[in-house]
Amino acid sequence: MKLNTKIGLGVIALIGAGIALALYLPPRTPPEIIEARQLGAKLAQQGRGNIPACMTCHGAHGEGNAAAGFPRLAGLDVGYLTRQLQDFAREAPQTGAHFDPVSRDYSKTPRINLPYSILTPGLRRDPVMSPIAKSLKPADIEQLAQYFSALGLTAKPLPGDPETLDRGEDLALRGKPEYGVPGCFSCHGQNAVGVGAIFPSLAGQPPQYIIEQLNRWQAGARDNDENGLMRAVAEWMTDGDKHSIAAYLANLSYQVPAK
Amino acid sequence: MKPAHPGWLLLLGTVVALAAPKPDAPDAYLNVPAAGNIVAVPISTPGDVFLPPPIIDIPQDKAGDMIKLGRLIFTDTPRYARRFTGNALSCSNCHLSEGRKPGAAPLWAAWGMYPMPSAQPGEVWSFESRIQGCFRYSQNGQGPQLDSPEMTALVAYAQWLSTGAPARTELAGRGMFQQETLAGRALTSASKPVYSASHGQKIYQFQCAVCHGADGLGVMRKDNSYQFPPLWGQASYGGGSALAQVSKLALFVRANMPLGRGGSLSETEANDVAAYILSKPRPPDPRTGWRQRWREARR
Repeated sequence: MKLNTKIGLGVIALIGAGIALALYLPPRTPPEIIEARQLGAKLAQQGRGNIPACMTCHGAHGEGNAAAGFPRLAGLDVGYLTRQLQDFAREAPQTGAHFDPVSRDYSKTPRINLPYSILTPGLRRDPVMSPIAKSLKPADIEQLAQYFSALGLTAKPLPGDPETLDRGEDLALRGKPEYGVPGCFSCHGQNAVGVGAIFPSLAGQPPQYIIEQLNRWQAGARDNDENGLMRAVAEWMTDGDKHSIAAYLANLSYQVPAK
Repeated sequence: MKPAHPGWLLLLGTVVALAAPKPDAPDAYLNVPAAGNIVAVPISTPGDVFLPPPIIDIPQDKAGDMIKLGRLIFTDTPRYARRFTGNALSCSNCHLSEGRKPGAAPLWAAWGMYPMPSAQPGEVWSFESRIQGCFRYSQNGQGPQLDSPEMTALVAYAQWLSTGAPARTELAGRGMFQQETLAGRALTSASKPVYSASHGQKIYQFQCAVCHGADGLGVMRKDNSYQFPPLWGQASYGGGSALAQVSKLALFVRANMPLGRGGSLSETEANDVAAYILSKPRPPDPRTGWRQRWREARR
């Protein structure tokens, strides 16, 4: 084998090894995301003005407060957290009959009769969170979402009554097919780990939080779900179902690594 | 005292009305019905449909182990029946809620109807041959042999789900959509429908793309199994499947989709979205020859 051939093969092997290393190593986090996480951490730990520190209720590491029913935020999806804060801050749109002071001719106004053009952005009204979210700037929301989504979490499974847990597992895997209700895991992922920005992770959430949110969906106080999917499910849940599923979700062992 | 002229009263009322502070914008939540008043149209009332036994009632013996294996194959077919499947779908992707949901071809309604006469005269379709057809056409694979453990397990699971169901009886909820009425309305019109795949695309982007993705290729989990099944492409069901017919797919969509909101799409919407889904490529029908496949590919 000639020397040139050896050098050429060596160069090719080096390039190949470099490509393999680049594919093996995890992708680098962009510096702007790291900066957003740091700014979000500052706001979450210290607060600002009339914004209290998030960690006073949601725990020092975003793990939530099981006794008080404050939800865990660590490891939730960025898009989900962003959207919830936006929906907390959003005002209810004006509804009802509208009368013009001067009658106008609407015959030449183009009409949009498509049924899929009337959806409004969802609302999530909460006496505690809504005033806080209203005083957050869009950049704050982005930074807080980046910070809490990067936190890791190891859930502590809460013990429960075996029959309640069995019923909860039945609801989580199969739902109530006789009512047309799908199981939780069919959208929220296996063991409720969450799927994308639409379907949040439910594992490790305090039971009181799950029950309270299901109640709000039934009452219409929360309607920021995609296409009314969650509301259709919540409408069929009895108080016993809510109790069982909350106990089962809190009983799951769940771990999400810090980013 | 002389009574005031009505015109003065009217003028005074107008001034008061104009000077009064403008009332707040009407609250959106006032229009939301209270929890007790929400009326939802049920797909089926539980008293009208057969209720299969709960999972905890599976017997703790060898037969029970076979039933449990059948349930695992049913809910995660690419993992537990790998050698017989050719795509990423599980049985429970169409037979929803682990084969229990009425209107989604529940096993408890099918079990008692077999063996049934086939379309070919003189032939009889057994339950096992129906399962083989599912594997061959819908899972794009091969039918399990009659003596294979997979076949035994699936039959055991179907039989256990039908515990207490009357045999050779047309049960409510059988097939894709056997219930003829929803809140007193006829579900299918007599006239031949006209499909519009372009309108179906709009419906798809609005109603279906949330879960199945704008590209229709589903959503994959970290372990390469599917959270939301693909609706077309090589990982989806083949052209020989029942759901590859627009009318059948429209019935399935109407009864079950979006998940949890079955019955919310109109007949036209379901037909159009089915036509859109079936206008996309998918594995061929294994019964067709290469000439027909070539023609379809050129089409």
